[in-house]
Amino acid sequence: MTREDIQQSIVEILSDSFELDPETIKPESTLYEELDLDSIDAVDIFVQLRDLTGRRPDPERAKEVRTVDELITFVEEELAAAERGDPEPDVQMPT
Amino acid sequence: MLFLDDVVDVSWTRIVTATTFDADFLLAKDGRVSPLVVIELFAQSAAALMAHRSAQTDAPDVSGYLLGARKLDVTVDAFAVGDAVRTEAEEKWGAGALAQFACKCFVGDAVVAEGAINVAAGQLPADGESMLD
Repeated sequence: MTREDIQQSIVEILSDSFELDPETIKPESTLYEELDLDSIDAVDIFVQLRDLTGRRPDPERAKEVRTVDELITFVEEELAAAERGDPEPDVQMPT
Repeated sequence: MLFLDDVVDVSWTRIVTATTFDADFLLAKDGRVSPLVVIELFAQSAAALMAHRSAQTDAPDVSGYLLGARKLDVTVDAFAVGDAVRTEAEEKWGAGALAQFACKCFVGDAVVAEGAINVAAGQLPADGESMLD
């Protein structure tokens, strides 16, 4: 899956889930400020990314994602981890 | 009000619960129960799963909150008093105080409702702070 493929998938997830105009979703777009998403929306995003990558996204690293470009990189790294067979992160208790 | 009669099966990320809508069921009216009861069944099943985890880890019990339902699909107009339903809730992902559960409700082997719920648990952050942290 190329970086462009990942970007296309993320644009589809964001536009379909949150009725965003795909034209407004740029790599440099900030998720929470410019795209006006919130932390509950982020959970929806990472659940769908789990389907895309085939593994449970790392919550600690997910918290650090702020832009679409960082989200693309996050997916790249998750796909690489899946290919290496890295263990999935433990399911967390709420904090 | 607890709607769950029994926990049929439970693991770290998935739970199956059972409920029978008796005549004195809180939401029963004229022999029928609104199908929207499934949202509460989903939420209570998710809460039971979290309580199970707390018991396994000796973690303190925490309050939980239903934030909303996503992509809810209900195929029945109403449940009838006497119907026995089975509810499945599986955690798909969570971070910080937030988690999403994929849920299904069955009558017999037929899926009569499915969707996702977003929940929050634990100490909620102050206004303006991310619930993922």
